[in-house]
Amino acid sequence: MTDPTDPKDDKFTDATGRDEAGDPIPAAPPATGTPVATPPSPEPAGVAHKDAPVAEEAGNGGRPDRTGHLPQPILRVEDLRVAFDIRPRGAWPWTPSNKLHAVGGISFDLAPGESLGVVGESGSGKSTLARAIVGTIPSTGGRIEFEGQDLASMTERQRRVHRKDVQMVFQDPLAALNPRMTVGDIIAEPLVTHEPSTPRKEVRRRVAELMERVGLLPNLVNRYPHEFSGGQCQRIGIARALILKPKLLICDEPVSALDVSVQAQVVNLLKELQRDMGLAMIFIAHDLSVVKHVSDRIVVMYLGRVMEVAKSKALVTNPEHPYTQALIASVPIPDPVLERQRQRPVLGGELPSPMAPPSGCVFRTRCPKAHADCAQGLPPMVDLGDGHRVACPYHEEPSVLDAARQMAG
Amino acid sequence: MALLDIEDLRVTFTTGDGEVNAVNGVSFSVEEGETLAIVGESGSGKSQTAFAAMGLLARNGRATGQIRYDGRNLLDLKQKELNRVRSEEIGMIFQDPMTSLNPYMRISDQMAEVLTLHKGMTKRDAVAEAVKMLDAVKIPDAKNRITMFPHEFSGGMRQRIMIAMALLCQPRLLIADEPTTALDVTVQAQIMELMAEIRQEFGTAIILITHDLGIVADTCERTLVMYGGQIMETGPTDQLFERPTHPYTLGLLRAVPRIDRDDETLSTIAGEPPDMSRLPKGCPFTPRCAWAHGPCPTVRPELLPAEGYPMLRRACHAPVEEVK
Repeated sequence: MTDPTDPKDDKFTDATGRDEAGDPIPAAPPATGTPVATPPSPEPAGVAHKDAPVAEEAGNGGRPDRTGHLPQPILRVEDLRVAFDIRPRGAWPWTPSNKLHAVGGISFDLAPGESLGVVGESGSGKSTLARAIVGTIPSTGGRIEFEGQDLASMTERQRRVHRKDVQMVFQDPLAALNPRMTVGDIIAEPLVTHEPSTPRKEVRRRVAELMERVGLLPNLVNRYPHEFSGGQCQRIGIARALILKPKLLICDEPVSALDVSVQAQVVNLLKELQRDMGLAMIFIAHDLSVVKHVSDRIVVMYLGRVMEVAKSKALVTNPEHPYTQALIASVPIPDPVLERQRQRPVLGGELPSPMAPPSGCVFRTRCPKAHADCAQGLPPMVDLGDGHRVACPYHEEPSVLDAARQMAG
Repeated sequence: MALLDIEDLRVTFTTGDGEVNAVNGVSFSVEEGETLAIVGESGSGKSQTAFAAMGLLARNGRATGQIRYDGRNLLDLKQKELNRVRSEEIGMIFQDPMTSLNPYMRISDQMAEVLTLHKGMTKRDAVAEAVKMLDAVKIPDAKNRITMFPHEFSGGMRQRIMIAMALLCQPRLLIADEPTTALDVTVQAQIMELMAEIRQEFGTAIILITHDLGIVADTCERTLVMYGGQIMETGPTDQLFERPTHPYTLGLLRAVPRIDRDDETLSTIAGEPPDMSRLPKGCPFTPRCAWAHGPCPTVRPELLPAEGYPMLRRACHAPVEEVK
């Protein structure tokens, strides 16, 4: 049971040169390394073995050369784990609660001004990831470094600054806005909270400036959220997130509640703002075609783990992981002729319960290429160069998709 | 004769802020075994059209016009007659399966109820039939899982159950209102495949109501584009997607981010969706339309065959060759 934890944590310690004391209060860090292996107990040795290279690969193997030619990353996430305690039904007070591993060991870094897309279906842990980075959910393992500073060891004062620098845009635009505040107050609130000494006039000026920037008429400043349509509400949410001039903007499904015609407006706006203001951005969505438009790089998540990371274009044109391939094949194209030519193998089955994820590769239960040894230990991250990394040792085998394509063409 | 023939359907809601016209004179028909997509954004009236046809409008809503199913006007039927038609002849599936299934009832009871009530089957036969139908929609181990409660199934499975339930009486028409919107893409692909199979196997006509042009392209023979409670354009899906002749259809198709293309910026439709309680007298798309001119704000364009594209019908004042 403790077997899989130790090597991993050791590696981890080596890699960072620090011990993982980073997470002081969040319950029982040592326990968190194990849990994935907990439900299916019969393969501790295998896990220990295959698990280690992952940490290494993610921690320092693929990394230094990345950071070598890039400027100091603004955000660095290393082997991040987030687990929730789930009380079993009818449990006694002393019964240990079950752990739900929403995020199980994710590493990536983000350069200033870069936009990173995170794609995954429901239950993939993408929103939990966002919350952990913002700091609203404590992580249970791993590190999040923002501008070189560990999030978990921040003092209250530093944390305040961090909150200023990292802002978020939410999915449901209307629900994210206080219905009893005017638009002007909503947009000004972060500024008034974090920089209370700002003169009123200055606040008003900045609100007006931002409203114009996001495409709202500044004379609407005294209106209430319900008087706006969904797209406009999302613009208000964006303005609010930008008023503190953050360095990192996290957008959690910012357009999925919007109509197609409005969605395109908001996507363009976000892209434009990101470029003009030099923002680093994490764009989370389930819709790969939207993410592709916004991001430089894309992380594909499944059941709390990274399946594949690549530059957007490479990911869409040359997906290596069977899950990414299936995901792309499932996205419908609004062109009847093309759509008919696309022989798409539909991915069978459904997302397994995150309470009891499959052993080894979490995708293996639905994977068209699954081998027997996929059940043993986590698949290592294979580096394919140019930042393209895939968590599948069999990625070179011809995929079902290729076969279908050949048949079609 | 068409299976379903809707003529000049209008749906009005009386609200505290006055009358809201959700559907304004919509006419179309569905043939036996055909698949028709009704595409539109929120507030376009696409769902209310279906709800009116099923007699499911909210209490403050009123439908006028003709909805002829098999020759009878559904709007004139008595409640009892209507109940029979919509259970045995027309099936409907909704966006969120969890809110349409009774959380307190076992799947077996919910499904058997349909058959015992409408076909007079015994409970035992009904359950056996229900199991068969669950098998048909590919629920693994249906025999044992039928005694489970809705919350014990995943979203995709629940939607399969809804489809199975709608098919129990072997309806001739299935209305699917955003059946995959709440589902993940990989599950959406499964459900759409299932719908296609069902159509082949049972010969059911399907009306698919959706905002997603992608799934329309794959599954429907004919498409009807709605905006502001009116039909903007309609025709065979292939032609409509290849050469949209209405500014709204064109804008909508261009605004969809596509996975198979590399566009730097997405083209957009300027402005916001219409306020249904304050629609312009003419074409509802006027304020957002790049081709809007003289008659547009005041004269409502008729739905007429597009010049040069006889298969398409469009409601627009701008000449076809200019809209591209």
